[in-house]
Amino acid sequence: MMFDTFQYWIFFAAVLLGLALLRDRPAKVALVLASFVFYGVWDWRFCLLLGGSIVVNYFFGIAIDAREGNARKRMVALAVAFNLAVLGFFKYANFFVDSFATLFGLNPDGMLLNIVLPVGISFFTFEGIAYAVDIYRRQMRAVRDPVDFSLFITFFPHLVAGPIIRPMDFFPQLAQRLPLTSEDSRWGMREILKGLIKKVAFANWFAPIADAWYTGAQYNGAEVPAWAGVLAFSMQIYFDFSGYTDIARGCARLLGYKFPPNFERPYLSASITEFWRRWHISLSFWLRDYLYISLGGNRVSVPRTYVNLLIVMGLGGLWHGASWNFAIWGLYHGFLLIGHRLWRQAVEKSGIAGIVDARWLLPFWIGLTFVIVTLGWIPFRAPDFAASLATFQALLAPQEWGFAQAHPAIVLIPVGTLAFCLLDHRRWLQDWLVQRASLPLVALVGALALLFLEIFAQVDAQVPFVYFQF
Amino acid sequence: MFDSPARAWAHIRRLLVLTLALLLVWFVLESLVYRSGFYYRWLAEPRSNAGAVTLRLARAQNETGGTAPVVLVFGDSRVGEGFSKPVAQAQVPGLDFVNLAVPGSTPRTWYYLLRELQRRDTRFDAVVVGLPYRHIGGGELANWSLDTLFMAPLVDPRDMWTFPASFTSEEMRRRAHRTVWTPALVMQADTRALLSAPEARRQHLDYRQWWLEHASNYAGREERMPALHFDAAGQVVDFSDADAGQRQKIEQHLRDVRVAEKPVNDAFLAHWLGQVLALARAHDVPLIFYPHPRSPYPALLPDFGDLPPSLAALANEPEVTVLPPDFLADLEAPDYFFDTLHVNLHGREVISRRVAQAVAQVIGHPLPDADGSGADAKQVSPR
Repeated sequence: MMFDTFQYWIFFAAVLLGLALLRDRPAKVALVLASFVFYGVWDWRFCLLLGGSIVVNYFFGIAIDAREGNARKRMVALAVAFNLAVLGFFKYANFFVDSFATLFGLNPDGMLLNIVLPVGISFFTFEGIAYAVDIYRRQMRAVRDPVDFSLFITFFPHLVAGPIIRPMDFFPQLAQRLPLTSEDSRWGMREILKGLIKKVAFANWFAPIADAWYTGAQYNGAEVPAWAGVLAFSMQIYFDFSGYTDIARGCARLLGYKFPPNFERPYLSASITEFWRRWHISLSFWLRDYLYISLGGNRVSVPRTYVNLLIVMGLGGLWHGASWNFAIWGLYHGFLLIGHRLWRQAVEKSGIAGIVDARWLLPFWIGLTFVIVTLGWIPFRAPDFAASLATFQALLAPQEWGFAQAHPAIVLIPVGTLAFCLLDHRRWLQDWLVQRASLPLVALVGALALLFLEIFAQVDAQVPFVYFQF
Repeated sequence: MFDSPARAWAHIRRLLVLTLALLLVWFVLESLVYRSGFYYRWLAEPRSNAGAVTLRLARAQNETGGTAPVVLVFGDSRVGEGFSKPVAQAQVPGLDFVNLAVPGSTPRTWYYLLRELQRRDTRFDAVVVGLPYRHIGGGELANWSLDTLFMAPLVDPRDMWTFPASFTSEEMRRRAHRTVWTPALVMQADTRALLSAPEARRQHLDYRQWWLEHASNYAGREERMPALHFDAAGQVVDFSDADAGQRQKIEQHLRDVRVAEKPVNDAFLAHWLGQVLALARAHDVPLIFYPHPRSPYPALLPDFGDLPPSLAALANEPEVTVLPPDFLADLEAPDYFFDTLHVNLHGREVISRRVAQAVAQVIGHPLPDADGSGADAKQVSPR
């Protein structure tokens, strides 16, 4: 059940109305059941895996909490190993078999397992790890109520593509319910509409252009130049994933829960370090808190810190999918982060920080960051290493710019979005809509958004959310 | 999730109010732009499907203002190419013929078109429908995909049950619901083209005026189809001077005519022609059906035989005249067709004269004295 289908919105309305009839615990039980229904629509067998993961992590939590010293450490190690084993089996088994076979020149055909990747597995296993580690670090106590714990893992708005919810953010919301206000309703509706526009009108428009480039096909009967294919994917993945997150956050808010932001206008970052603070924030923080810090973080020697960065970003890349291309993408960002640290140190030491950070240079840094991030998407999207290489080579060749004339939206959408971000600086426009605008004005803006969706939605495009595959 | 029933319902109520307000404003905006007819009248691409229907509505408005009895002529492109207003009016002076044929349309579109004309208080004194009495080809008329596009300017939420229900496939019903509820979505390609190239659209809109002023004087096409020679098995043994394009169309046509007719298509005709009759009856005007020539190559076709059940049933109604299936049989020849479906200017002239005369007889309009101009005229002997 995808967020951009009519089926989902019928489901969501039914859940919303159903929950209004129930109080406290029965409402939570109903929400867990609804989440299983949501998940089971893909394949009911996945529910068994999800249920198993909940049961095991629940008892691991209690076991970790009940132990001290080395026993506590062993138990958290077991919990992490269990989650990684689940993830490794379903997501990486064939990848490792294939890589092993390639390394030793073997034929992998007889060794590969017939495994279907359950949707959202990367997200709920990471949440299981976060839960175990937070208890181990004594940042929270184990949750005794199995319903609360089940809801943390299964809550359908974040189940299949995040944001990755941290236990410390979620469980307090279960313990103390804040009354939902008119602002919550407007905020939720705004995010849902915004997310739908990003996904259905923008991401789905860019998707076939990117696909055409990376599969060697044509788009509307024309060849796609390299620059258009690369830019299209950069736009697609942003609008697709941030659109999904907006809808997830909006739905959660309408149900009475707050999810942390996952995107903060990342393409307006002035450095790669800033980019990772604004792109897929819940994953960045997860990697920082549960992997980077566990490896020693910044408290180790400088060379070791850099190695840690490479490990974290490389594994972060692999988290996205079982392919060396994702690892390359992660390592690329690891090197960029190291390069940026070295650059900042050099800038600080040489005393030119005032010039480098001058306001008038900001557009240059933003542009540069956007370009290097966009180039990084090439191995992320390309089907294999050869295709990545071919794309880089094609970018170095003279470009065909006529595509932009035939399809001006490829420029208009990014430029229009940028203009909106400038106009809505610090989101005052969006906040005004939620906090201060009168109901007729809100309805008018919402209606215009619906009209915009009607005219620009790629209604029959059937493009799945990119992050569903992770 | 909620602490108390009061809080829960307050939240739901706020959401409902917000949702309803948003939907209401959206509906109003969409109605102002699309459902009011503004978009179709002033902005839609006139050569699009919705534009074609809008042009017919405008033509009906333009050409029914006189005092002479008005005869509305419905059909698809075969009638568009095969019926000439000037020729018909020359044959029967004193009658105003208005050709409302829409290329690619089915009787479902004709019904909604006629209904819209009635809603607009358009004056008319007879309704004529030209169609091949038996559908040629394998398509299923009930799920004719173009119908949802033609209908954008013709349906509104009052049709929310009946229009989608007239399709039998889920996909077409879904599209029909879109046509009823979200005209902006149905017209999205048209609207996007307008927004991306407004100047080009402005130039295209000039075509609208030209069409309204001149299209009725269209004489028809001069080309003729090549004469073919068939063997006893119905295979072409000699394509004569057919060029590559013609040969391709002929081969497709030969495949089409061999497809067995589907009973569901006749049921479709029965339903929608019956609906057209209901409108004609409500307006107290006669309804006349004439058979469009089926093919330039009748050797491949079965004999005319009896009327199909749909038309046979209609023929029993007092207000209905169904001209016999062989009414235009002599025009089923290559000399009268410019392609495998459409008659050329010679066929157009003959059909227009004969149909005009038949209509005049049915409605009791006086015919001119025989002076040679009615050489092609036939006496009407309705079935």
